[in-house]
Amino acid sequence: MQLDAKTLDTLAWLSRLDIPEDETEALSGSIAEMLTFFQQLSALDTEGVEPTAHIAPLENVLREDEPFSPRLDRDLLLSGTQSEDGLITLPKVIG
Amino acid sequence: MKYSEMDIAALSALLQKREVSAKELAADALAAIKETDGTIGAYLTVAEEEACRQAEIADKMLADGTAGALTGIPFAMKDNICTKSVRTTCASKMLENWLPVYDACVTEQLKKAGAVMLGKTNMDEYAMGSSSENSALQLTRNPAAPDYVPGGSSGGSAAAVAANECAFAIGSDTGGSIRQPASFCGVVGMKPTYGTVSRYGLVAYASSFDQIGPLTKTVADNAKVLEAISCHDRRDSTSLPEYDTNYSALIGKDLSGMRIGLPQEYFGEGIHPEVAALVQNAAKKLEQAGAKIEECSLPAVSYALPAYYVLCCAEASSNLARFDGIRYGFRAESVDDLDRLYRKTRTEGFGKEVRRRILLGNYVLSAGYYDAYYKKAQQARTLLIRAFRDLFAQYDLLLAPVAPTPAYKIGEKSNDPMEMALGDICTVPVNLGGLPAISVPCGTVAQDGANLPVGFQLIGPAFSEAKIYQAAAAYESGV
Repeated sequence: MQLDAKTLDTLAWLSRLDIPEDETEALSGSIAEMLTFFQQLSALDTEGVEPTAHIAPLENVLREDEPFSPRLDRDLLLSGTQSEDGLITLPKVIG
Repeated sequence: MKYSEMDIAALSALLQKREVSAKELAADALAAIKETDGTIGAYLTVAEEEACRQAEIADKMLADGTAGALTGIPFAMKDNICTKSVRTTCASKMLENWLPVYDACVTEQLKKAGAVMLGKTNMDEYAMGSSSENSALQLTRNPAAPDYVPGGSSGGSAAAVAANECAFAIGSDTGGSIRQPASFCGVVGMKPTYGTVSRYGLVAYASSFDQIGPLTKTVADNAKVLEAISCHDRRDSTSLPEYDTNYSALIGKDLSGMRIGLPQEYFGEGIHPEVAALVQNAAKKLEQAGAKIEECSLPAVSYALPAYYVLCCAEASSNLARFDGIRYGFRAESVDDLDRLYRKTRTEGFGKEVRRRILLGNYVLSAGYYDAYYKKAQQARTLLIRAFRDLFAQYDLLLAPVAPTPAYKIGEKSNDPMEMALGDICTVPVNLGGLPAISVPCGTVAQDGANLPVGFQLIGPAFSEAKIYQAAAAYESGV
């Protein structure tokens, strides 16, 4: 089984990845193989079974909006790949 | 016995008696790394200056009476855990030169305990893999047999402990990444209950599974390290509230009355006969130590592997969206357009396996496929959790192999990701259930002139770490 070229293109776009030409065949074969493997799940009767998104026995709670972390924002900004005057630089977005 | 060969308990006794200083231990450990790591390749970064600085602090703690069980003990950290000003690469080209501006919670906890970090260990890129061969930066060899893989993804951490290049190491376990390399290298590895150790500062792979834990030479050492690193941390919203973390409490107590189940599904097709025999032998030893051993059944494990891979790829595709060439690490050159920058950076920065899992994750989350794959896998997860809950109404612990086989040769499975994934069959059910489980060495399998270590796995219900350590220590003391 191979994944068709259009599906692979869509996935690549969604993932913000390029698929190098020399990898296309192996990659689409390997993804298709995994998807076939995933289809084992279709045999499972899950009628009325709640999906588990998270295992933690915790409830969502709201806290007061008080700062408690050390202020890292400037350090974090400067740890960006390229920065200038404390700001991250990136290619021009608006023509 | 050399310092580098000693366990934490022995080193700590020497430190407390002032027969050796933390500084001397650090120097000794750094010398051991220089001597052997050229062959093993466990460390991506050796943090010599940092180690000396932390050893000085440890010596002060020892002098002023504030030292604890880990003060002055040299250790290694998996390279997906943030260490301020020490590069944290995730074994990826994407983060090859990235210096975190903060410490992970586990790094803070170990600094507070006075432990001495020697460096950062190799792994599968972003923890995606089972042999450490997916590292974009380095090859790690199994100290027991250099032509064989150390397991993964915490292969560097397991190899560093096994090669006496540190007294203990920290790893992370998403689908078996602490337990399986511990089994392959012949050390003790614990994946604690989900939420026990804060994930703050752990580079996220699959957040609903990722959990940090220790790799050590002995069971008692393992409990001590877990005691030091577990805590409630408000910076990780899945961190558990404070609860009893005296994990060593039951070590040394006999096992009479303990019921241990052997789920037969873990001993079926695909399990190496000698691995099965070694685990059965461990069951006999536990029985001699007083436990009641019974065969049982856990049919739900048959769909654990596809469910796990659907969910972990989905979570990975979301978590790794942050690596866009702008905020962290690598940025592709000569691109004038933002979208092209994202795509070129991610294609050049991520290795093959990482890109494959992101693509798979986006597939199962896509409109039209979401219910058939992602939701279905979440429902399978619910069924597996229920099955575990039912079994733990009858048994205190479950005993199983850690991996179907011992370590395999370098290159043997690296071109077949499906084959590699099938090797995770015994470890992923625990992660789906958020349960604690340990890998304990139980013998070796002779293959092509090499003696390959094998571990058994003890699985418990949530918060049963003390009981797991009790049984594991009873086995260890009887060997």
